[in-house]
Amino acid sequence: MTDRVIEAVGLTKFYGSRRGVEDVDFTVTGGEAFGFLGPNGAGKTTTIRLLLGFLRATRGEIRVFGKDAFAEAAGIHATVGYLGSDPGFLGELTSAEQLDYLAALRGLPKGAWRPLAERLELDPSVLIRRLSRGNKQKIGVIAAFMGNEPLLVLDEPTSGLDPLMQREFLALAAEVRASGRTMFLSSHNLVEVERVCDRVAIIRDGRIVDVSTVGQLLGSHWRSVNLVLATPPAPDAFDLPNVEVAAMTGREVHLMVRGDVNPLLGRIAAQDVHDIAVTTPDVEDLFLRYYREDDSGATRVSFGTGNGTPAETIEELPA
Amino acid sequence: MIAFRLELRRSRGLLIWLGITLLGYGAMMAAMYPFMKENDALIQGYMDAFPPEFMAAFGMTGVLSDPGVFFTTYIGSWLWPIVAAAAGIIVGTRAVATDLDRGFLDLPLSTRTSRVGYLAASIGMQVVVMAVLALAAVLGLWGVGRLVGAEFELVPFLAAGLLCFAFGCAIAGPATLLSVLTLSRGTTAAIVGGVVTAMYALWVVTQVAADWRWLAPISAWDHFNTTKVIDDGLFPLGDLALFAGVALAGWLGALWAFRRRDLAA
Repeated sequence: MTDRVIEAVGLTKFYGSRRGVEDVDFTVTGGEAFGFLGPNGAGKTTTIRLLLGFLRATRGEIRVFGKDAFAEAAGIHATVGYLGSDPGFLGELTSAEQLDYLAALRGLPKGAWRPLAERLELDPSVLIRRLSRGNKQKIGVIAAFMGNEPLLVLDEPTSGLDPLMQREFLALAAEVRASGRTMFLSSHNLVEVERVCDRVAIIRDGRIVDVSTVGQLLGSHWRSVNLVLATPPAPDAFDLPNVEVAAMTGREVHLMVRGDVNPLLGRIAAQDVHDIAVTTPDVEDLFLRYYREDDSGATRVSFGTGNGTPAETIEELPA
Repeated sequence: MIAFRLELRRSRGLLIWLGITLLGYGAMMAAMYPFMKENDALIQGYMDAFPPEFMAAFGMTGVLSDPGVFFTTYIGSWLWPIVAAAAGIIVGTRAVATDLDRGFLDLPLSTRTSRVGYLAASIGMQVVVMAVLALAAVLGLWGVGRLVGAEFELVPFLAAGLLCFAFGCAIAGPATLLSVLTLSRGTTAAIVGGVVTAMYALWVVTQVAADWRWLAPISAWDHFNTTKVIDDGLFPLGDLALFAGVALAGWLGALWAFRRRDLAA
């Protein structure tokens, strides 16, 4: 098996005059979990459909296990487990029937899905048209994970799942990673990508604007730290190169930190802290870094509340 | 084979409900046959009040109690074309346009099943659907007709059923091709439904207006004469070949186009 599981070179897809993706380059190596982040319409699904041979590239190429994704699609599919962004299961079938058919199409034994269905608490006897969106998504997750294919392609896998099931999904993904299988995951959910992926690509308007490790990606972005202290701190209490004091009102302090948080933790430990809230940037914050850059080079960075809603905005001056 | 089984499972409801409709309607009409036979002269007198061209446009080209005229009047000229068009559009568009629209197509096509294999399974199922429905169209009328004493011969009725089957396939084939080309169930249904309706309208016009009769061969109805098949015992080889050719052209074209088609949801 080639070490390069997925290799996109100059991958471009136009729908008539409308751009899907353009000059996309990335490589996913064996055993790697690769995240693909971008808002709706950025080109994530187009890339996945090119990867699976559902679309033919306008120019450039994408190869999976060294094979051309379009010309040799059926051969590639024998090595892929796939979950689409909005799978439309057949409402007239029960989950058990649907999963058995999908298992049979993949050469898996009847009932191969049962352990996963029990784990995700899916009642297989119910007609799919009577299931909630979350339960339909469970069928998709089960279908993708029930085989032992060396590559998993997941497009928004936790969309519609409740928090408990999202956690179960993360556990499943961790098991896949531990088994050495390769994962390509498209998501809006940074926490999901952070926990599952080794590297992540950010796609904007059909072009990849950054490919880095998740650690690098998060390290280069601001986090919001809100403190409630027993007494007002000294004005220079948090005077650190990677920390910015956004607001300090009596005992309440709002800090922004980027990169290594250990020096800040040391300063916080020296205080009598009544309460602390640390908000990691959500995907919206990350996108804003790439989307709001203006001609002067200044970047507006948004700090999220953790639930996808920006809570506060500051101007970041160019370094 | 698995894809074919899945298609067959998905067609179960369609087969049951349309099959029951055809069988039930045919049986109901056949049950009335003795009454019509008894009142042949009366009914014929009433029918003679209409211009023969007008009656021909609706499949009534002889005595209503003739088995062929009876079948064409109640099944061949209206119920079967409607059922065949509905079924042909539903099953012809399902595998590609409908499944792409509902987000299902990705699932079978992301397995080792090839595009051609998947669509071929659907086409095989279309053949089965049309065969079962055509059989239901014939057997309901024939079976109950025999029970009530009608002199309906099985072989001519089966030959008419074969023509019905071919007629249905000639709708399903182009519907499949259009479904692949447009990836839109609505567009496909509009085109196929429009063409079938236009052919029927053209047929009516060519029967009523002698000046337009030369256009009749363009209409599928000119080649769908179940009266002749049953009453005259003519085996419609040419018409069967024509319908089969249209169906095969549609299906083979669909298979060819589907191999290279962008599947953009």
